[in-house]
Amino acid sequence: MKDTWDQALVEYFEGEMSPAQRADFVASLDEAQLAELTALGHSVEQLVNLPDVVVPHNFAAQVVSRVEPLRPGLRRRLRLWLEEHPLLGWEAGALSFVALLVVVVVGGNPLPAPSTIQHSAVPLAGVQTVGLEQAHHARFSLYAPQATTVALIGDFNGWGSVQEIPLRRQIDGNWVADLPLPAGRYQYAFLIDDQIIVTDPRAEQHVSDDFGRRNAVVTVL
Amino acid sequence: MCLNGEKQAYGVLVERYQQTVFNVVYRLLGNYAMCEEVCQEAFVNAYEKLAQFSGRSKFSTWLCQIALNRGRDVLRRRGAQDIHDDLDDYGDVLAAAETTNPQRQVEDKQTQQRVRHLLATLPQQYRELLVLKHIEGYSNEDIARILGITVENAKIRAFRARKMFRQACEEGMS
Repeated sequence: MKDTWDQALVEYFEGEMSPAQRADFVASLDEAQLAELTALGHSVEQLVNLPDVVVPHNFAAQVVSRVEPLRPGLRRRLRLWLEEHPLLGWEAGALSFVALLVVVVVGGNPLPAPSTIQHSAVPLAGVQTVGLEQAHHARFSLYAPQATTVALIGDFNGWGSVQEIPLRRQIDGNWVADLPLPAGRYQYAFLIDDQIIVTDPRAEQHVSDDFGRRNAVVTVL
Repeated sequence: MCLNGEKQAYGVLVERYQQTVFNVVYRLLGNYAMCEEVCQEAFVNAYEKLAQFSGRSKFSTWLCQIALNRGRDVLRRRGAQDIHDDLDDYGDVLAAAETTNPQRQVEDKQTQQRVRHLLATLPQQYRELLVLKHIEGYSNEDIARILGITVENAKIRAFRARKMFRQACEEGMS
């Protein structure tokens, strides 16, 4: 990809050139290059012109007939029940009391005031804060001795689309990156050799994303 | 409403996205009968997972990834060699060409068959890229999400895929 001709072709077909740049680029080509550009353009055009594959007219109905009604969530079931069973005065009062009790119990361990927040002395699994003075710096690490490259992807860099965050290889097979992050909660994963996305096995928590992967979660205080 | 599982509302969603899903899965598998089964499974699977769809990505992107994964499962189980292109068995399954000239229709059909067969000769990862990018018109960001790669990687893979396809076209002509 270091070849300037290849790079120019990428920019040309990705629409990264302005009309003027495209015209200059085409004008600068020799005969062989122009032939290659034309052939590439023609082959892409053949793909673009492929017609749609016709969908059977009753396809949606077939799908709908195969799905089972989903069991509604607890909140929705409660709402439906309440709609069907209007509450009397004492029931509403009792429900409010229970709700208040739940809030008190669950909220019994309130978050510390900002002035009392301290970084954990124990590293949070694969992520640890780097020194109290450097507040909001997190160190991400992954043990991957066979990897050629490891990069960090997550909420904070558009999952690799905004900025590349490579990890540095250590002698012991660990890969490390220090990252300044505003306080918050982030999902992340590691990208190995530009191909394989793996979660952090030592993360403080994992959550499933929309694509069936398990993202690691880190909380930066 | 649909996220709460209403079946009829889901039918509307299916109708909205079925064309894209059919196009992608058929180009991946090259077999219409299997494509139909895989697309049905993908939509049913997506319905069952609706609660997991957080809205951070486009629904079509999420759906397309589910369908691609189902298609890949079939390729792994059956092996690409055991799957044959049966589209011609379905008569006019392909949308009719706009032209009314019979001679032109025959030529168009032959060209489309040739392109389909050439596409099928490419390695799966490059075929997927060409289908998503140049046939379905997904952005590099969406392709990266669907395939689980970086945007930069999607560009590089697209570049290689175009070169491979052009070479296949040349070899097919000679």
